[in-house]
Amino acid sequence: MQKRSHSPFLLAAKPLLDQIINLLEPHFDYISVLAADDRGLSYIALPGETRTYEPMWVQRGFVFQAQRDGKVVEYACSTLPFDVSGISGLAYEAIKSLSLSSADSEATSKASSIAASAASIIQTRLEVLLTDPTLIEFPKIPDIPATEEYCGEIQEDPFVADPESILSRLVALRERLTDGKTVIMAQSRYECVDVFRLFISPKRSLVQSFLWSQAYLFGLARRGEIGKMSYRPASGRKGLEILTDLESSVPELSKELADLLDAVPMEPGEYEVILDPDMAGTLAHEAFGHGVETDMFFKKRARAVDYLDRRVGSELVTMYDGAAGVDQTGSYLFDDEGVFSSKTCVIDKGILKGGISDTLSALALNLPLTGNGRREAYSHKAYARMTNTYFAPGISTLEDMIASIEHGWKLSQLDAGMEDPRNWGIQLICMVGREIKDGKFTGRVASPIVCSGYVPDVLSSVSMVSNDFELGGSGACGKGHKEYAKVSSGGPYVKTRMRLG
Amino acid sequence: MMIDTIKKAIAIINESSSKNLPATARTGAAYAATPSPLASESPVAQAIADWRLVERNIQRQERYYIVDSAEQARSIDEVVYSLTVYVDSIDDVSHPSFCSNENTPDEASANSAPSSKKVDSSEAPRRFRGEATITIFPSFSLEECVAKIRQAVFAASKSHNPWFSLPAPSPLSVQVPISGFEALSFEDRVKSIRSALYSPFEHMNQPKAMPIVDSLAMPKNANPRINSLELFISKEQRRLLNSQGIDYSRTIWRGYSEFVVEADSPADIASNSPTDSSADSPSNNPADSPSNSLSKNLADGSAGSSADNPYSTVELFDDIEFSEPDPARLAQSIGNRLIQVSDRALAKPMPKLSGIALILRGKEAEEIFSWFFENSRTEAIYSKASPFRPGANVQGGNENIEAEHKGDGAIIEPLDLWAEPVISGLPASAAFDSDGFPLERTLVIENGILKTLIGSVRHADWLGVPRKGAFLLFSVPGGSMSLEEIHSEPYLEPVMFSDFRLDSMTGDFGAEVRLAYYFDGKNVTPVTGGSISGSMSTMRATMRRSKETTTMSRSVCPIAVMLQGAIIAGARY
Repeated sequence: MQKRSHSPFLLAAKPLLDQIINLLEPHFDYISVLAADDRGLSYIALPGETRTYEPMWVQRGFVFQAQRDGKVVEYACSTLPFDVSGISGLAYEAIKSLSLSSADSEATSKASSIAASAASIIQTRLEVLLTDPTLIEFPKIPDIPATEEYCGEIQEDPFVADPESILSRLVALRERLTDGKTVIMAQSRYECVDVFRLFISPKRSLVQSFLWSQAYLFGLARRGEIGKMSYRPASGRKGLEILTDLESSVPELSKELADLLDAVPMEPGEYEVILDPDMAGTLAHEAFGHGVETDMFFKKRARAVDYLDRRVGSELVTMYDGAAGVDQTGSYLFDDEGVFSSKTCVIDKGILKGGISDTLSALALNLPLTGNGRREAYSHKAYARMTNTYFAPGISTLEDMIASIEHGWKLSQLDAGMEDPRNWGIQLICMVGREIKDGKFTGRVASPIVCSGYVPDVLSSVSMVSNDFELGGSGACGKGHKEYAKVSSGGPYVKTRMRLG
Repeated sequence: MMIDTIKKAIAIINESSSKNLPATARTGAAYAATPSPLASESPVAQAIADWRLVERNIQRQERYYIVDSAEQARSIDEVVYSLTVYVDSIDDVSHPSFCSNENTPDEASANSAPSSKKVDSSEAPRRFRGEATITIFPSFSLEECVAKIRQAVFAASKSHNPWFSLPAPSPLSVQVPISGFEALSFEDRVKSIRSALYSPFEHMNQPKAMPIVDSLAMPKNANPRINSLELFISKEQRRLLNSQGIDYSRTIWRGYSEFVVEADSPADIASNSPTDSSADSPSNNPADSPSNSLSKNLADGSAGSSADNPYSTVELFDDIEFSEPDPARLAQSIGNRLIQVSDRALAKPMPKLSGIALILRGKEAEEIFSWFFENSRTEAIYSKASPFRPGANVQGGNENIEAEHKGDGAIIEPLDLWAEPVISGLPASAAFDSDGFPLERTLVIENGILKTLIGSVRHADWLGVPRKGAFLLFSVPGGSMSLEEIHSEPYLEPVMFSDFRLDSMTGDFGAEVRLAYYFDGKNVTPVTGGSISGSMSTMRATMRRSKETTTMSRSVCPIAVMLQGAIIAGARY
């Protein structure tokens, strides 16, 4: 295993940021800065071309959060603002000079000038924002002393691998899947993000570095006017080793695409369903992941607040969310507000126990800080967001679950899900439904399938939970129409009832 | 200044390449990493044959309102550079990452212009072009730039795509009008937008949203109101340069608002659940909840809605993007939702329906037309993701597209679709595409036939079709039926979905319904729950579109589209 190392840029910027925070502290009731320096790689193999680029998650910048008289404002910048002796912007040479020993009085003096200039401009930006007369007052944001660091580990580092080897593997993957008769098009993709974060407040200094990867193999099958698509994903806080998972999935995906061309439309109705771990995890994510994000409590948009300590599902339903406790793409040491991660039991044997919080809604509602305050990027606001969301495994086997079904469907290959935290509707769309009758597969396939329902009904109908446990962290979670966060979801196979159409 | 640094870094790399120095792709200060053995042993260094650089300088103000108080205020200053480097090679068909397209050129471009050069595997020698795109930040030193660009060059050298040329400078055919935001102070920008969003009925210049029927009187106690609203206003200076001499700049104003509106349910309809009588149905008094401290904190401390009982309320959410301070358009957007959320409060569970028309409007209607637009792109056709072929009928059915009767009475309405560089009020308006190719209004689909491919210039070259550019906006003229005519027969008309999904490759679509209007031939009833699904592959031949058009997020298109044959799953079984 190879350990990640911290971003040299952030390590070099730290002394300057420490000085800026010290200079700003007397002017605000609370001040902090989150610095991000995420780098990434994306490789894609399409019919007739390959490309190398960077994923949307790549960023470098700073966000300063300040509070005065309860009001909270933020200033975000891609480069620290200062203008000292003709230096504008944060030149790498300037940062390096700040790393010199304090015995170098010229460097120390230069550093102080830069810090003072930047702090002055940042203070001005924040104070202009504080003049907004409509700002709500929150309880004071706590600044609890802590100093911690974390470095993740991977096996195969994509940043030192030969791009040719990566592209060759991706080209080979899509060519293996494409047969030109049934599967007329395939594409394969690998991307990774090296996450580097530094959080500084007067009393806290936190740094973390880790890498996550995701990869996809998509196939498109056509027959006449009919086209059907399916895919296989791979993900984790891992490096190139995830491509091995994808390579072994080709035969199964090829057969699935052929089956999908004979898919029938779903006859609308309510059915027994077996959700694969990806579908089940998304059910957890949409139902009581989004449903218990406490910024929704604060806006009175979450029905869940009226159901705490009340039954929302069967005894077989236990659900968790947390950046701690499991290792997947939603894992980290601290969130984007400098709060340590945790593992929250959201539902315990069917009883709704608690929510997941960002700092401001937790303070306003006197709730625990769970370390779920996350930003899409430094330039975005922090919201209460999920991390790794999953049902706990049960004791049944998948074979027993299939055998128990009189007439229903095994659902897999999630397309998307959506929540309604106020009115508790839920939507899951998947690409593959395999019919089960009298405990056996009939061979019929339906695609696509829109699954909907009323959340407590769906969770109360959970009658079997398998002893498997898989987490998938490909894709991203949106909040409303935007604000993407990297999450994972999953758990066991789950048998329940849903409306299908 | 940073642009000069990047150009200097490119010059350094090309100079070292011309001296045939080893391609040490992993040197530099970027990160401590072991150089790739292959890179350091390579005897020939790669040169950057061409490059494209985009500078984005963005200032943004954000406000996050709960009701009408700001939870937070933010300002953002962001500068970022995107550099694409192109590396050429010759005659390397044996290379492992050589790309072949399983289609022959003839199959891919039946109507290619004679003068266009197609990709032809029999010609020799062949030139190839690889590319890699990286992000450069203003805090990069020259040393960091050189290291990162060198890595990109190394990666680009491993792609062997068919060669194409970058656009050269040429006169721009259109001009994007200057936004009205330029003339306003910051305070006035926020004030004008806030005023339109928070007092929509003062600004709306159109009647209530169709198809509100007079018999659906807005309940007196519905109290439709804003729950929360996010407001972003940004100004971006974007500059595009390339190695062929292009240097274009433009100013992009982008306003964006995401909002949630809510209304009170009548006391006897508290939810859309089929199990309203369950023992665990929500209490009408938050104080009865076991979590009294939480509920008390909500009542005491939160800036929530004014309803005494927040959990029998219903909501709708939506968003709007704009480049002009257009109070009427903004007011219409939120005003319609305020009217509709009151209807959601009255909505019954959706019954299972069949044999009636599905009317999609607004964003979902735009999605339907966008399916035709996206599948007309050169990149979609080259990769075979698109089911379309140039010169072919894109609406399925009979190849001879005329308005005709089919045996079952369905009438085909041939589609026209234009690619538009500029649409007033939309931030994506541009005189040139992301490669710097000048854009001109182009007829893409005429009378149902795919006439002209639009899309990236490289894929146009690879298909052997004329370059038209990668448009972001389009327009579709109105059809032959008025909204009144479309609504004259039984229909289901969803106006709010959980998340409407239309797959561009398969044409399959579906979503859960949050609010729809069901007309049974006599009465219009708001309904909720259940879902709809269908596929463009089977429904495009008989789709009809309204005469009336409107501006959406990336098009001017008919307000409504009527589809036959959808699967409608009810909310109860």
